[in-house]
Amino acid sequence: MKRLFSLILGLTFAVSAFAQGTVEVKRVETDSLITFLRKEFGQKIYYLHNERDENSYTVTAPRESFVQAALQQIKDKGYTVSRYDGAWYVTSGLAINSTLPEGYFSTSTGDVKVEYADYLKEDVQTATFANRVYEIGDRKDGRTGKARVSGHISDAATGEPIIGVSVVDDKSGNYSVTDTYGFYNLSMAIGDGSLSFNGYSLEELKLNVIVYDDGELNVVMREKVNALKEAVVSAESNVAHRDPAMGVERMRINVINKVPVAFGEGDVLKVVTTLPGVKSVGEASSGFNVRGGSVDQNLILFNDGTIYNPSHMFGIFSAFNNEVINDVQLYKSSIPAEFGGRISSVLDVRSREGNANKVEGSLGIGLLTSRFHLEGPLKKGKTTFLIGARTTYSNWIMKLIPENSNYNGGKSQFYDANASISHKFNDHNSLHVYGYYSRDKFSFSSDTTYRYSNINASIKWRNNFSSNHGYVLVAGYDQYGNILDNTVNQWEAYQYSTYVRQAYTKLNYKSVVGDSHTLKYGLQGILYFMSPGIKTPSYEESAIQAKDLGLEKAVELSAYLSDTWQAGDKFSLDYGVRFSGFTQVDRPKFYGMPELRVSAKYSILPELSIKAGVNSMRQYIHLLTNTASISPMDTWKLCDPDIKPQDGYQAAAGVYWTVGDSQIDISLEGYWKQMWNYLDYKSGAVLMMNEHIADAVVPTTGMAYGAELMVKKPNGKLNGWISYTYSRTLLKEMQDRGLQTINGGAWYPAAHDKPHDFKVVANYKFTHRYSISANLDYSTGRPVTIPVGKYEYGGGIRFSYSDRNGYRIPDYFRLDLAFNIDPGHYLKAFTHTVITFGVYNVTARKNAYSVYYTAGGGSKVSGYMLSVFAVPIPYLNLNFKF
Amino acid sequence: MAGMLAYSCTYPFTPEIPDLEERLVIEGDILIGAKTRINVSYLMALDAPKDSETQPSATVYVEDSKGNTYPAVRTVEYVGVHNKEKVVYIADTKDAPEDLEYRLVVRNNENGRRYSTPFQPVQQAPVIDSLSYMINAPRTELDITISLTSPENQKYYRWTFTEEWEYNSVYYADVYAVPGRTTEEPVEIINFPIEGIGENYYHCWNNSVSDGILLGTVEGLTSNKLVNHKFAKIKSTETKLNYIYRMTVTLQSISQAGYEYWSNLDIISNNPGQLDAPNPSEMVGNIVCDDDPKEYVIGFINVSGTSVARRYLFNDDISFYDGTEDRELSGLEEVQPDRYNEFYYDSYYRPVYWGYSIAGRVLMWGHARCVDCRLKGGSKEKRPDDWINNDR
Repeated sequence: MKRLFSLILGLTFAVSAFAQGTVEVKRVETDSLITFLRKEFGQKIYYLHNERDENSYTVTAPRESFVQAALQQIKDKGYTVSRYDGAWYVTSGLAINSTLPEGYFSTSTGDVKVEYADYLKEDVQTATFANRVYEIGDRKDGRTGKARVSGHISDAATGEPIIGVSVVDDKSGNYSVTDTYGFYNLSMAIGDGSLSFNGYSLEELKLNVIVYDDGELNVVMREKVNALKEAVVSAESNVAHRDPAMGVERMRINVINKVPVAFGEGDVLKVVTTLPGVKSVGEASSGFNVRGGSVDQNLILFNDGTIYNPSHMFGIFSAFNNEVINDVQLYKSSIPAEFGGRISSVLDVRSREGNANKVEGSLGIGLLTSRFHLEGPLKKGKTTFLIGARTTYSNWIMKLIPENSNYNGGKSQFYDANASISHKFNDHNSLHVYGYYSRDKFSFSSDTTYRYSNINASIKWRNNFSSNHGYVLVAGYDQYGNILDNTVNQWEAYQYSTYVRQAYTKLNYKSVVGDSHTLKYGLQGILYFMSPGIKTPSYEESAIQAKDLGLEKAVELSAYLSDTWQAGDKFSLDYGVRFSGFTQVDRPKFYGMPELRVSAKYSILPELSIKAGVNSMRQYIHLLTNTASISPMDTWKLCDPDIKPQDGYQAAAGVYWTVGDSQIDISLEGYWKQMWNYLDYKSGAVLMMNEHIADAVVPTTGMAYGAELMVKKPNGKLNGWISYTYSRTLLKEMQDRGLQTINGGAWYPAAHDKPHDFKVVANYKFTHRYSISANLDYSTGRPVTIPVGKYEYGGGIRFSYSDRNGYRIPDYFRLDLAFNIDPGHYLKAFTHTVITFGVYNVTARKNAYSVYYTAGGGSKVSGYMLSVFAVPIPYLNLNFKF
Repeated sequence: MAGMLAYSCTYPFTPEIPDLEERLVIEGDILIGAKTRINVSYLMALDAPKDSETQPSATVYVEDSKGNTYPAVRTVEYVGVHNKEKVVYIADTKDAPEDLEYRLVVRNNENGRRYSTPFQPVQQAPVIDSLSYMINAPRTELDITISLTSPENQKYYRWTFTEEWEYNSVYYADVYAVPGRTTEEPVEIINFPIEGIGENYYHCWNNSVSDGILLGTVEGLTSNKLVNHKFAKIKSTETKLNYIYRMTVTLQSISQAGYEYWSNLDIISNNPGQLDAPNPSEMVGNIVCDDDPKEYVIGFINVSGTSVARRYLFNDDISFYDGTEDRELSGLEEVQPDRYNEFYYDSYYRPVYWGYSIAGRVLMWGHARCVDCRLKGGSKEKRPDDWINNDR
């Protein structure tokens, strides 16, 4: 406030001075004088505000010599004024040398430009160096107790906010983790102290501070470029021992890019399935299963928009372009009250905002896809943009897919595009606009074509109206649709389509109350417009009767309130409630229920914590499928008077231990989960264009339980994680339909029930440029329904099948290796090239995707196993950054 | 790179074969206006050889809604290459009135249990408007199509498809090579016709009954017609359309429930291992064990009328047959007697006719596949009794 007053005072004097031909300012402080020189004379001056500076200036001089006169006065007050590269540097004490002593960099081959000076902004101090003391808040005599310290953390190179940095008050242990906007907020005792900043692959930063009052401290952090052997406490460790939330996995894109996957393109969803408790049905399958939940029970958010189909090409690629992704966060146990609408997990994918300092981009070339992105400032320091696109040229690979899979000889195309603009009005207000579009088209034969697309658009306003209060207001539109064109017979040729569209708004508040409470509360609303099926004739001569199952309109409203109570070093508690209500508009039936979210943490030792929690969740939308893997033609269905919402709860507990000089995090989590009203299909159910869909499906009750052991080493030359999971997922039909009841009403394993699961993801850095990565995956084979006998019927051999999911395919094992070459650190190089080459399925294991039987010519029945990736797949990926 | 990435495949897989559950299978439909054939058997083990089904002794009859019964006569047929006995129960429902409802009753004489279906009305037979074909643009495949007009209130159909064809080898042989008892003994050349063989192996016949599940419906159409509905394919390289081809469709109307049962059977019978294939899941049919309703019985009995359509196709008319293989093998060689055995055993050649060259009379030989039509699967014995050129 004092500075602001000075500035206004200074400008007032300056205006009055112009009228007299000479320039005169009177009784202004140092920072006001410098601001005046910048504004009026366009001088580029770097200066760090000094609270202890009580100097006052009165300068009167002709306009042409006013700058020199003012700077001379500043020098006279004890400052050093240096000039370098067209800018003035006003520093206390030592001067800034514009040249280095000869031979300072004995191996240097070029100029090195120090860019950090750009961060010496005036409005809020920006900390970049550890070797000084930063003052926070205005000095107030006699102020004791605690103050709130908040600020933004950004990347030194790009100016983008950094998510997931843990900020810890070393004295009290209070902590905060930066949110999507790089914002943190924590309570500190008045007086001297220090703050530690940790983030994955970032240089650890420790800042000495003096806290006078509530205030802001913005911090710039850099990617770690050296000290491979350095022992640092990982950000994950910090969070794990402080945050009561369980089962939260956060991964930055640079980690994702190092995990080998088929065809070499870093893949968000594939990496998610390397985490304990996350499984997929098979290698060519869309979606994933979290702790026994079905695929439709995961809420996949991309910049707040819901992605209904996160896969391209039958799940071989995810729908996300890595070049625009910043990080992904998976909530598989403790789900914050601000999220709802799915009962199993939330996968929150965030794109970057774009480089705030300069325009840059990348071009990636892989065996099947190419991708491109461009980002940069539209207005430096204020507005950034980011665009990205990806496409495939994958038709050749379709010819290599097994003949009997029916994909052989088919065609497949996809592309996706992202665009976003972020504008920062000031430190407290910003506006973000996101757009996303993806489209897939594939055909197995010339007369059957499938298409599906995602469209997402959102606009977000963020306001931190004080250091302790802020809100984010989001409005958006999501759409997912699929189309099937069947022209096998001209007379019966049809087009079938479904879609789900939703308009939503979310108002999320966050308030820090007192020293130890962080309240989150808000309102959310979704309007659904869903078409369960439209069938139209493809040609004029087609006799297909046009049919529309009608538009379903529905409203889902929710409100939530949660509190994170940090009761000292040892104990913290997250507790919250979410009320959600849902009804269809034309067939009204109100469903509503409070959902509870509780988790608590107790630290036995600073490096040893225990946690426990309970969640209840509700879901008003179902995915209707009768295939093992999710098919693009599966239909979404809203709840109605006949189809009830899915409900679920999860109770979980865990132990978290950091050992080995804070290098290794060990966690053991156990969970018990129950689900109701998950819809399984009736035998012979027709799900497409079914007017009485409730009669084609049966509600099931499900239970899942398991234990997940994870050993993680996030840093160092060797880094990665090893996990083992034991889990079961069982379902049971809730109705008695006599002989038709699935498995006679007994519990049966879900399609993704794979009890033993062992995974290793490891990366070893030889140098900063060269590293190898390995990915190992073992799991019990998934349950399948197989023939138990055969009989002659209708002129052919038919099979009689076992109970649903009564048998298992062989166990799954796969090892992938990759060699990564990161770009050198030549700052002047126009392009930097990342090269990855590797081999997927190194051991050439023929993992079964499915098993099936045929009765060749009616004689002996033969069993077959379909293996999707049966041989080692070498790949090469190039990514040029410019 | 593409070659390196030929990475996925199917492999033989012999899983643990589950213990066989005893399940009764009752197959057949009550055909009004025709004879009703019912087969009663038990589920076979997956590795059981062909035609090895076990059949319980049973008593079978059809009953109409007025209480009249049509007893099925136990009939033994001989099937397969080993002429294995197969018991079929045949009821004469040819003159059964169409305006009544019918049900099937089966008693398993081994355990005394009775099985029955509910009474069902007769599904009226449709009119088959045509059996036709469509040839694709590169002329590599020919689709067989059916068109029909559906009676009122009748929407669902199933049909069986029988194909018979006559085809010819490339050469009409005048002579025949009789091999010796060993490969060392000289091959003897004799002239056709030969006692016990008759004429040469130029004309052959073959047949095939589709084991696929062929279904059609007019449900969801603005018309009560199916027009050019594709249901079978012939490749131009097959011998089916080499000369004369005959297709026969026996079509029966079925109920909606029956259609759903057969559709599901089709889905779970065809490539259940596909990437996006539905999980196999059996539907329960309409046969109930009256003594123990919890017993699962396999089968769905429809009560149907039938109609039959038949059509000949001649390759001379449509020029569809691709004789590339014939042409590739069709070279004739002049073979001297000292090389007969070599050509017979090593080159798989057969004598065709006596020709004349500068050196005098010489025996011309051609590849066996161009001379002996049996090598393409058919035989002279498969000639149907009512073939179009039987008076040839």
